[in-house]
Amino acid sequence: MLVFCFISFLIVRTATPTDTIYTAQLIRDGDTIVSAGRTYELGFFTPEKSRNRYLGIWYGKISVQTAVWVANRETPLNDSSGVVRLTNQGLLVLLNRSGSIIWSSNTSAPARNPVAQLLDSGNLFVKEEGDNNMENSLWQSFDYSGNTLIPGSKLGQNRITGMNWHLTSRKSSDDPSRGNISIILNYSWWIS
Amino acid sequence: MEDSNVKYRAEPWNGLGFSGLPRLKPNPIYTFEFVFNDKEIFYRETLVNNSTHWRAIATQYGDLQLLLWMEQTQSWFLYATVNTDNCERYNLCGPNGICSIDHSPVCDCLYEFVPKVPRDWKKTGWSSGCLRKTALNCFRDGFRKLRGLKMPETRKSWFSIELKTTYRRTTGFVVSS
Repeated sequence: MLVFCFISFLIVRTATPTDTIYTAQLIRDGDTIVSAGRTYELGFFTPEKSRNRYLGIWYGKISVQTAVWVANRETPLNDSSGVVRLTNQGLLVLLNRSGSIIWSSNTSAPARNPVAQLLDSGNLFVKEEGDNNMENSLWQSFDYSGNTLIPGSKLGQNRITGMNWHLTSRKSSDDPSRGNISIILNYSWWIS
Repeated sequence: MEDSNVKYRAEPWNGLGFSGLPRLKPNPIYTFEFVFNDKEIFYRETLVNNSTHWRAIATQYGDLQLLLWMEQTQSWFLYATVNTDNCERYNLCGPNGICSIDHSPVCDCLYEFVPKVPRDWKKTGWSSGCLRKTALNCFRDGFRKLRGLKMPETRKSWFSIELKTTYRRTTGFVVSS
């Protein structure tokens, strides 16, 4: 009876996708985080003709894997040893085979009890557990768009933090690293 | 951003849309908004129906492409692109030049303006643009209506929230003694 219970527990665990990353958790290559309505997925992927592995967000419901956001666009992994975790400080870190950090998010404030959540909008955000106010988010992927603007993400600037929301092209469809075209919102302000 | 690096402009925002992007209109797929307040200034699009998939990408050729997922064909459909023709190239005809895609060559000078460097202009060297045929005299000068053009660039303009009016910076206006 005890063995049976243990097995069924395992099955439930693997069959239920989660939209949240907790600090104790390791996301390995092959694991995915899925938004509540299954609209977006977070995980490791390889672009068309490339051999590199990238951490990214793609659509959960369409047949052609299309990454709308890439974390390590400048620092690809060359094998499937990548691991992501959320530190106690609220940083998402991507580690390679030797355990070195090859990409990291940042945080707007020191975290106490951080969790990361992938929303159905495609926004991956780090917050204090239980605080769903986006205004209080510690970090969000919508602040760091790559070449793709998806509905809900912004082009422009936060005038208080100086955060600039812009797009930068990819070198090619196989290489998501920064290309030479940027799309930016230009403005000058005058308050009399 | 240096001027020579600009490939395309959609600005200015006129309150309803971008003057340089007339194809951006209210549509059944997404809504768009331009927000500016003390904290933020941004442009954002929102899907009308969450079951459609839509994205805009910056390409290596200086284009912004709008792609829509087609269920029937299981592929991305190019719904719109900002670089529709050669006249979208930033500053192609130079200062006071006017680009008309149905003309050959595409560049002309504005009414009562002449090429600054006529020899270059004939050989499609339009970048130096055009000059006034006769100087403004402040007596017989007037305004002439031009249709279907992008409004002048506002990168060097200021916006006053109180007055809701855009002013051109005076450095664009030369006073000689």
